[in-house]
Amino acid sequence: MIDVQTLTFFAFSGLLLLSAGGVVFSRHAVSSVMFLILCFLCSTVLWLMLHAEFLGLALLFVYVGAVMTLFLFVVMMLNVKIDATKARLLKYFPFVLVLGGGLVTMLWLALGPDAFSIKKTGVLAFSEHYNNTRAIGEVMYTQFVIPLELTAGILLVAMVAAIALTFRGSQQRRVQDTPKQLMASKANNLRIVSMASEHEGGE
Amino acid sequence: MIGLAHYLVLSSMLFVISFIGIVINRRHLIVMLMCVEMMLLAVNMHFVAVSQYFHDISGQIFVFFILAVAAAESAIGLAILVLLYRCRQTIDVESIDQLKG
Repeated sequence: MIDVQTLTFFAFSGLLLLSAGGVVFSRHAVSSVMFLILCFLCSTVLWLMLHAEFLGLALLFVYVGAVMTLFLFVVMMLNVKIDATKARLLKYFPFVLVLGGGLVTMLWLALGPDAFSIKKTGVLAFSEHYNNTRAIGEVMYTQFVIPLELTAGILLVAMVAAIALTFRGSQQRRVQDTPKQLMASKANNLRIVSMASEHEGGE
Repeated sequence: MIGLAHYLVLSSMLFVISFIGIVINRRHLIVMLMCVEMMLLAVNMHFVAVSQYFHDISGQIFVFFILAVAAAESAIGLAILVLLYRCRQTIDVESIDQLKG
Protein backbone atom coordinates (compact mmCIF):
# COMPACT_ATOMS: atom_id res chain seq x y z
CA MET A 1 0.00 0.00 0.00
CA ILE A 2 1.53 3.24 -1.15
CA ASP A 3 0.50 6.38 0.66
CA VAL A 4 -0.24 9.79 -0.77
CA GLN A 5 2.97 11.37 0.45
CA THR A 6 5.18 8.79 -1.24
CA LEU A 7 3.15 9.03 -4.42
CA THR A 8 3.46 12.83 -4.46
CA PHE A 9 7.17 12.66 -3.80
CA PHE A 10 7.83 10.25 -6.63
CA ALA A 11 5.55 12.05 -9.07
CA PHE A 12 7.15 15.43 -8.51
CA SER A 13 10.70 14.14 -8.32
CA GLY A 14 10.19 12.34 -11.63
CA LEU A 15 8.79 15.53 -13.13
CA LEU A 16 11.75 17.45 -11.68
CA LEU A 17 14.30 15.13 -13.27
CA LEU A 18 12.46 15.11 -16.60
CA SER A 19 12.32 18.89 -16.73
CA ALA A 20 16.01 19.06 -15.77
CA GLY A 21 16.70 16.84 -18.77
CA GLY A 22 14.52 19.20 -20.80
CA VAL A 23 16.66 22.17 -19.75
CA VAL A 24 19.80 20.38 -20.85
CA PHE A 25 18.61 18.84 -24.10
CA SER A 26 16.04 21.23 -25.54
CA ARG A 27 16.91 23.00 -28.74
CA HIS A 28 15.65 26.47 -28.09
CA ALA A 29 16.75 28.57 -25.17
CA VAL A 30 13.16 29.69 -24.56
CA SER A 31 11.98 26.13 -23.95
CA SER A 32 15.01 25.62 -21.71
CA VAL A 33 13.82 28.54 -19.60
CA MET A 34 10.31 27.08 -19.48
CA PHE A 35 11.64 23.70 -18.36
CA LEU A 36 13.72 25.45 -15.71
CA ILE A 37 10.58 27.16 -14.41
CA LEU A 38 8.91 23.73 -14.21
CA CYS A 39 11.98 22.52 -12.33
CA PHE A 40 11.62 25.26 -9.75
CA LEU A 41 7.89 24.58 -9.38
CA CYS A 42 8.53 20.88 -8.68
CA SER A 43 11.23 21.76 -6.16
CA THR A 44 8.82 24.11 -4.44
CA VAL A 45 6.38 21.23 -4.00
CA LEU A 46 9.13 19.00 -2.64
CA TRP A 47 10.31 21.67 -0.20
CA LEU A 48 6.74 22.16 0.98
CA MET A 49 6.60 18.43 1.63
CA LEU A 50 9.71 18.88 3.79
CA HIS A 51 7.81 21.51 5.85
CA ALA A 52 10.20 24.20 4.60
CA GLU A 53 7.33 26.50 3.66
CA PHE A 54 9.21 29.79 3.84
CA LEU A 55 12.02 28.74 1.55
CA GLY A 56 9.70 26.95 -0.84
CA LEU A 57 7.63 30.07 -1.33
CA ALA A 58 10.76 32.26 -1.45
CA LEU A 59 12.07 30.01 -4.21
CA LEU A 60 8.78 30.39 -6.06
CA PHE A 61 8.65 34.19 -5.73
CA VAL A 62 12.32 35.02 -6.15
CA TYR A 63 13.17 32.53 -8.86
CA VAL A 64 10.04 32.03 -10.90
CA GLY A 65 8.90 35.59 -10.35
CA ALA A 66 12.12 37.52 -10.80
CA VAL A 67 15.14 35.57 -11.94
CA MET A 68 13.43 33.44 -14.57
CA THR A 69 11.64 36.48 -15.93
CA LEU A 70 15.07 38.08 -16.29
CA PHE A 71 16.36 34.98 -18.08
CA LEU A 72 13.37 34.91 -20.40
CA PHE A 73 13.78 38.61 -21.15
CA VAL A 74 17.46 38.20 -22.01
CA VAL A 75 16.86 35.08 -24.10
CA MET A 76 14.16 36.79 -26.13
CA MET A 77 16.21 39.98 -26.47
CA LEU A 78 19.35 38.25 -27.72
CA ASN A 79 17.59 35.84 -30.11
CA VAL A 80 20.50 33.45 -30.42
CA LYS A 81 20.21 30.25 -32.38
CA ILE A 82 21.48 27.02 -30.90
CA ASP A 83 22.79 24.29 -33.15
CA ALA A 84 21.69 20.73 -32.63
CA THR A 85 22.55 19.17 -29.30
CA LYS A 86 23.04 15.66 -30.62
CA ALA A 87 26.29 16.34 -32.45
CA ARG A 88 27.71 17.96 -29.36
CA LEU A 89 26.51 15.10 -27.21
CA LEU A 90 28.45 12.68 -29.41
CA LYS A 91 31.45 14.99 -29.44
CA TYR A 92 31.66 15.35 -25.70
CA PHE A 93 30.36 11.88 -24.87
CA PRO A 94 33.67 10.56 -23.42
CA PHE A 95 33.91 13.59 -21.13
CA VAL A 96 30.29 13.16 -20.06
CA LEU A 97 30.89 9.48 -19.36
CA VAL A 98 34.08 10.02 -17.37
CA LEU A 99 33.06 13.13 -15.44
CA GLY A 100 29.45 12.09 -14.86
CA GLY A 101 30.46 8.58 -13.85
CA GLY A 102 33.09 9.93 -11.48
CA LEU A 103 30.62 12.31 -9.93
CA VAL A 104 27.98 9.60 -9.50
CA THR A 105 30.51 7.26 -7.89
CA MET A 106 31.70 9.98 -5.54
CA LEU A 107 28.17 10.94 -4.51
CA TRP A 108 27.24 7.28 -4.08
CA LEU A 109 30.22 6.75 -1.79
CA ALA A 110 29.44 9.87 0.20
CA LEU A 111 25.70 9.45 0.63
CA GLY A 112 24.80 5.94 -0.38
CA PRO A 113 21.89 4.15 1.19
CA ASP A 114 23.99 3.03 4.16
CA ALA A 115 24.92 6.52 5.27
CA PHE A 116 21.46 8.06 5.49
CA SER A 117 19.09 5.13 5.72
CA ILE A 118 15.66 5.62 7.17
CA LYS A 119 16.67 3.60 10.22
CA LYS A 120 19.36 6.11 11.09
CA THR A 121 17.66 9.39 10.34
CA GLY A 122 14.07 8.51 11.10
CA VAL A 123 11.07 10.01 9.41
CA LEU A 124 10.23 13.67 9.18
CA ALA A 125 8.35 14.60 12.32
CA PHE A 126 7.31 17.99 13.63
CA SER A 127 4.94 19.02 16.35
CA GLU A 128 1.69 20.49 15.15
CA HIS A 129 2.68 23.94 16.44
CA TYR A 130 5.80 24.02 14.27
CA ASN A 131 6.04 27.26 12.32
CA ASN A 132 8.83 27.26 9.77
CA THR A 133 8.77 31.00 9.06
CA ARG A 134 8.88 31.80 12.77
CA ALA A 135 11.74 29.37 13.34
CA ILE A 136 13.75 30.96 10.53
CA GLY A 137 12.97 34.49 11.63
CA GLU A 138 13.95 33.86 15.23
CA VAL A 139 17.42 32.81 14.17
CA MET A 140 17.86 35.12 11.22
CA TYR A 141 17.30 38.38 13.07
CA THR A 142 19.37 37.46 16.11
CA GLN A 143 22.23 35.13 15.36
CA PHE A 144 22.60 35.83 11.65
CA VAL A 145 21.83 39.52 11.54
CA ILE A 146 25.26 40.60 10.24
CA PRO A 147 25.23 38.13 7.32
CA LEU A 148 21.70 39.33 6.59
CA GLU A 149 22.89 42.93 6.31
CA LEU A 150 25.80 41.80 4.15
CA THR A 151 23.36 40.01 1.86
CA ALA A 152 21.37 43.20 1.51
CA GLY A 153 24.61 44.96 0.57
CA ILE A 154 25.39 42.29 -2.02
CA LEU A 155 21.97 42.71 -3.62
CA LEU A 156 22.39 46.49 -3.74
CA VAL A 157 25.84 46.21 -5.31
CA ALA A 158 24.50 43.68 -7.83
CA MET A 159 21.68 46.00 -8.81
CA VAL A 160 24.02 48.97 -9.25
CA ALA A 161 26.47 46.80 -11.19
CA ALA A 162 23.83 45.43 -13.53
CA ILE A 163 22.51 48.90 -14.30
CA ALA A 164 25.99 50.40 -14.70
CA LEU A 165 27.05 47.61 -17.05
CA THR A 166 24.13 47.81 -19.41
CA PHE A 167 23.15 51.49 -19.26
CA ARG A 168 24.19 53.16 -22.49
CA GLY A 169 23.50 56.73 -21.62
CA SER A 170 20.89 58.89 -23.24
CA GLN A 171 22.43 59.32 -26.67
CA GLN A 172 19.44 57.80 -28.43
CA ARG A 173 16.75 59.91 -26.86
CA ARG A 174 15.98 63.59 -27.10
CA VAL A 175 16.61 64.94 -23.64
CA GLN A 176 17.47 68.30 -22.19
CA ASP A 177 21.07 68.94 -21.24
CA THR A 178 20.59 71.29 -18.32
CA PRO A 179 24.22 72.43 -17.81
CA LYS A 180 24.47 73.23 -21.48
CA GLN A 181 21.24 75.25 -21.29
CA LEU A 182 22.48 77.20 -18.30
CA MET A 183 25.85 77.91 -19.91
CA ALA A 184 24.24 79.35 -23.02
CA SER A 185 25.13 82.99 -23.46
CA LYS A 186 24.70 85.69 -26.04
CA ALA A 187 28.35 85.54 -27.01
CA ASN A 188 28.12 81.87 -27.95
CA ASN A 189 24.85 81.81 -29.79
CA LEU A 190 24.39 85.21 -31.44
CA ARG A 191 26.51 86.32 -34.36
CA ILE A 192 26.27 89.87 -35.68
CA VAL A 193 27.06 90.13 -39.33
CA SER A 194 27.76 93.50 -40.88
CA MET A 195 26.48 93.81 -44.43
CA ALA A 196 25.30 96.44 -46.79
CA SER A 197 21.75 97.56 -46.31
CA GLU A 198 19.21 96.54 -48.90
CA HIS A 199 16.51 98.88 -50.11
CA GLU A 200 13.04 97.64 -49.78
CA GLY A 201 11.02 97.38 -52.98
CA GLY A 202 13.88 98.63 -55.18
CA GLU A 203 13.29 97.77 -58.84
CA MET B 1 7.85 6.36 3.78
CA ILE B 2 10.13 9.02 2.41
CA GLY B 3 13.46 9.19 4.15
CA LEU B 4 16.34 11.58 3.96
CA ALA B 5 18.14 9.33 1.50
CA HIS B 6 15.35 9.85 -1.05
CA TYR B 7 15.87 13.60 -1.05
CA LEU B 8 19.65 13.29 -1.11
CA VAL B 9 19.61 10.88 -4.05
CA LEU B 10 17.13 13.07 -5.92
CA SER B 11 19.19 16.23 -5.51
CA SER B 12 22.38 14.36 -6.41
CA MET B 13 20.72 13.22 -9.62
CA LEU B 14 19.70 16.80 -10.33
CA PHE B 15 23.27 17.93 -9.71
CA VAL B 16 24.69 15.30 -12.08
CA ILE B 17 22.18 16.20 -14.81
CA SER B 18 23.05 19.88 -14.60
CA PHE B 19 26.76 19.06 -14.55
CA ILE B 20 26.36 17.03 -17.74
CA GLY B 21 24.41 19.97 -19.14
CA ILE B 22 27.35 22.28 -18.57
CA VAL B 23 29.69 19.81 -20.26
CA ILE B 24 27.59 19.24 -23.38
CA ASN B 25 26.19 22.77 -23.80
CA ARG B 26 29.64 24.25 -23.96
CA ARG B 27 28.74 26.59 -26.80
CA HIS B 28 25.73 28.31 -25.38
CA LEU B 29 26.33 30.66 -22.49
CA ILE B 30 22.70 31.14 -21.40
CA VAL B 31 22.07 27.41 -21.05
CA MET B 32 25.29 27.13 -19.07
CA LEU B 33 24.03 29.83 -16.70
CA MET B 34 20.74 27.96 -16.36
CA CYS B 35 22.62 24.77 -15.54
CA VAL B 36 24.53 26.65 -12.84
CA GLU B 37 21.19 27.76 -11.40
CA MET B 38 20.04 24.14 -11.43
CA MET B 39 23.21 23.04 -9.62
CA LEU B 40 22.51 25.65 -6.96
CA LEU B 41 18.97 24.33 -6.69
CA ALA B 42 20.31 20.80 -6.12
CA VAL B 43 22.65 22.00 -3.40
CA ASN B 44 19.83 23.98 -1.81
CA MET B 45 17.67 20.87 -1.76
CA HIS B 46 20.46 19.02 0.03
CA PHE B 47 20.65 21.77 2.60
CA VAL B 48 16.90 21.94 3.19
CA ALA B 49 16.48 18.17 3.47
CA VAL B 50 19.35 17.69 5.92
CA SER B 51 18.30 20.73 7.91
CA GLN B 52 14.73 19.51 8.29
CA TYR B 53 15.60 15.90 9.10
CA PHE B 54 18.16 16.85 11.74
CA HIS B 55 16.10 19.76 13.13
CA ASP B 56 18.83 22.34 12.66
CA ILE B 57 17.47 25.58 11.22
CA SER B 58 20.84 27.10 10.25
CA GLY B 59 20.89 25.04 7.06
CA GLN B 60 17.81 26.90 5.87
CA ILE B 61 19.37 30.26 6.72
CA PHE B 62 22.25 29.22 4.52
CA VAL B 63 19.83 28.36 1.72
CA PHE B 64 18.34 31.82 2.06
CA PHE B 65 21.77 33.39 1.60
CA ILE B 66 22.51 31.10 -1.35
CA LEU B 67 19.26 32.23 -2.99
CA ALA B 68 20.20 35.90 -2.54
CA VAL B 69 23.72 35.45 -3.87
CA ALA B 70 22.44 33.37 -6.79
CA ALA B 71 19.98 36.11 -7.71
CA ALA B 72 22.80 38.67 -7.66
CA GLU B 73 25.01 36.35 -9.69
CA SER B 74 22.43 35.77 -12.38
CA ALA B 75 21.65 39.50 -12.64
CA ILE B 76 25.30 40.44 -13.14
CA GLY B 77 25.93 37.41 -15.37
CA LEU B 78 23.05 38.32 -17.66
CA ALA B 79 24.20 41.96 -17.75
CA ILE B 80 27.67 40.84 -18.85
CA LEU B 81 26.03 38.55 -21.41
CA VAL B 82 24.04 41.44 -22.88
CA LEU B 83 27.20 43.54 -23.02
CA LEU B 84 29.09 40.74 -24.73
CA TYR B 85 26.33 40.33 -27.28
CA ARG B 86 26.36 44.05 -28.00
CA CYS B 87 30.11 44.06 -28.58
CA ARG B 88 30.46 40.88 -30.65
CA GLN B 89 26.94 40.02 -31.93
CA THR B 90 27.40 36.46 -30.65
CA ILE B 91 27.59 34.71 -27.31
CA ASP B 92 29.34 31.61 -28.56
CA VAL B 93 31.69 30.50 -25.81
CA GLU B 94 34.31 29.26 -28.24
CA SER B 95 34.57 32.69 -29.88
CA ILE B 96 35.68 34.25 -26.61
CA ASP B 97 39.35 33.57 -27.07
CA GLN B 98 40.93 37.00 -27.11
CA LEU B 99 42.44 36.84 -23.66
CA LYS B 100 46.13 36.13 -24.04
CA GLY B 101 48.27 34.93 -21.21
